[in-house]
Amino acid sequence: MDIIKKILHLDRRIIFLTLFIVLLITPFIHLEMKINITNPTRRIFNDVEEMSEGDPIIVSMSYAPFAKPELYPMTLAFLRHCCMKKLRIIFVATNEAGMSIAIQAMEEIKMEFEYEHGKDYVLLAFNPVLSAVMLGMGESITDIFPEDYYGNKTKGLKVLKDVNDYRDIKLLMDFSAGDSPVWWVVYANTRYNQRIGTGVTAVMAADFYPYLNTGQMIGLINGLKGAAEYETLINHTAEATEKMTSQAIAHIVIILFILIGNIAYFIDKRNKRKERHGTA
Amino acid sequence: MKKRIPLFIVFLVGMLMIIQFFIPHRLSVTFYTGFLNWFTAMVLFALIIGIGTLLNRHFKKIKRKDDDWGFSIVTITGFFGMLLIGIFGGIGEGTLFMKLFEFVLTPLQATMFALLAFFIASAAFRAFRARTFEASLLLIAALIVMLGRVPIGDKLTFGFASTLTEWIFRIPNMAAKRGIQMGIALGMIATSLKIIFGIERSWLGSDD
Amino acid sequence: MELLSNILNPWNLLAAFLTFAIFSFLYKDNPFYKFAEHLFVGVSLGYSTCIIIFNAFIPKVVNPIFTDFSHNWHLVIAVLLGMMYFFRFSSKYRWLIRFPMAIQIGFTAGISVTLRMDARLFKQLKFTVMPLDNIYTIIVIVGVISVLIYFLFTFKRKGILNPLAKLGTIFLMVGFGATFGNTVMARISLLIGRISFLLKDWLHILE
Repeated sequence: MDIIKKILHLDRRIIFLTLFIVLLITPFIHLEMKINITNPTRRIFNDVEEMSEGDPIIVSMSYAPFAKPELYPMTLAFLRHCCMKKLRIIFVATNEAGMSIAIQAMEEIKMEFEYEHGKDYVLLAFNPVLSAVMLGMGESITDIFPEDYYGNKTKGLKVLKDVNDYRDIKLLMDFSAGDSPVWWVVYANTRYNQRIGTGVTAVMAADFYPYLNTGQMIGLINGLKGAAEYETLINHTAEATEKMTSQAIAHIVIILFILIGNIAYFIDKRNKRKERHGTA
Repeated sequence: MKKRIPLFIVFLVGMLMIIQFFIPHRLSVTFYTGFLNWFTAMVLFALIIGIGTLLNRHFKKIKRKDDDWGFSIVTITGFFGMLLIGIFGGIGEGTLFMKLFEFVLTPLQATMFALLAFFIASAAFRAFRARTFEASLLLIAALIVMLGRVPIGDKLTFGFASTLTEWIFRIPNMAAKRGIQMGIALGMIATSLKIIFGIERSWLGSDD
Repeated sequence: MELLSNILNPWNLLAAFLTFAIFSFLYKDNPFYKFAEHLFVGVSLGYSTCIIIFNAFIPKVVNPIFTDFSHNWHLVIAVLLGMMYFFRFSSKYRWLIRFPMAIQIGFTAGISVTLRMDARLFKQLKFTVMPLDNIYTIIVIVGVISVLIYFLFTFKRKGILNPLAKLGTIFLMVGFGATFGNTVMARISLLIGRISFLLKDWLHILE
């Protein structure tokens, strides 16, 4: 009985330490894992796959560094896919840190695919007035972004040749740690019929299923698992797939925590009831 | 004048935005794009106020020598340090600004949020109990999703967990989230209309 | 030797120190954590301000006015209106901030009415009932209606509405459960990210 009481009143620092130790060990364990591909991820992949060389797409960077462990691997996998297809990439940011993360991502892959700023991709400036940006790009991208991130005039950039507004953009892909995909739907899809795809943190993913069902979002990459799915689809195993072992074992540990906590709770409840009946 | 003119402006701008949505005429589009640029220029100043207010709080804390005032110096130094380095050193690839982004801002922010993993583990152990029917439902759905989202869980359940997870997301979860979001949308639309027609005036503040 | 130079690389060392300073909060609140927390606020704010100056203020306000005044003179009015926000700090003229606020609120409200109605209401309604060709569509219809009834507070629920609202809670709980399960996944991913930094980028003991 003492054990049950001890379990119920366990110092939470022991739980913290258990989780930390588990996650310190798991990166050294390699389990062969088959990543099953979900439909929403596949739809994004298929959409990019059907594009032709030189098609322009917008990549919206809507996350701060805190969400990098979840969103950066999928951003990289998606950009890699775009580079393989030789698409023109136009970066916008709805988060201040978005452009810095886009710089890091392009630094990692631009050499491999010989991508050049201004010619094959462009970092447009961050603009904090989101509604103005999302609506303005439906009228004229160069008007709403007269200068790029580095202060160059956007009019005349090779990457933006024949790109005036949403009508010229094949897909707008939003990587987000918040509710920005909904705003893209409200402003860019509803008003300008822009096709929207999204890659989001697992916390937010469940909220976007109503928009997937209506087709207002064409697909969705869901958290680190979604990133691993995309890596599998493009045949380039990287960070997300490597971390799936740690992720899986940690889930099992959390499930065990829940089960142990509940079993202890019900035994304690039964014991209390017995005690009450005993004294009565 | 202190209240009537702002109320009239809200009505005018709000109605103009509603009307231009239904008129795809060139004139309407030109007005609209011009307004977006105008709007951006104006709203930027509101952001400066936000930053100013926060800094002001820390300056006051230092001046009054409140508890932990020394840490306010850290905040202010961090702010001006980052700002000046960005202004004088640039914000592009390979700059000191980017280094600080990668090795100071990123670890600080990412670790702050990583703490939540520990708290959710602790909550799982201590608070996540199947006390009632509703709580049990939540718990079961969560357990299925936790298993279904990782390859091991899927293997343990012979693929059942991932199929069920997708079904939960697509059907009951979608219905629930749609109900919630439609409710929120109705509320927001009603509030927007109340603001435009001057029924909702709390944004004017209480003075005068 | 190479390992040691990696560990002692000043940038990595700084990032590792800040990581541990924040993790130290798990034991208890302490000066290292407070230092890191305050540095976080300051650096984040400085970073954002810098980005806003270079990415928005210069291209959208300064350059248009100073390089092409004849076409952009009207922006001066926007700037003057924007500067009215500064009256927030004056007790006598505080009411003047209502003018820029009125434009901001009017714009947001006006845009929201039309677009939100279409995106978040009409389309959602349409796709709830269409195509009515399988059992799942019927489950979704029942789910959406019962959840909406659950949130109906305008009048007291009676008769059939009560069991429907109860059904609504079932859908809500399953929905929240899905979100919770996914939240666990998200939080764990963030922690894996930090541990990966320590083992891989800093200590280089993981390939």
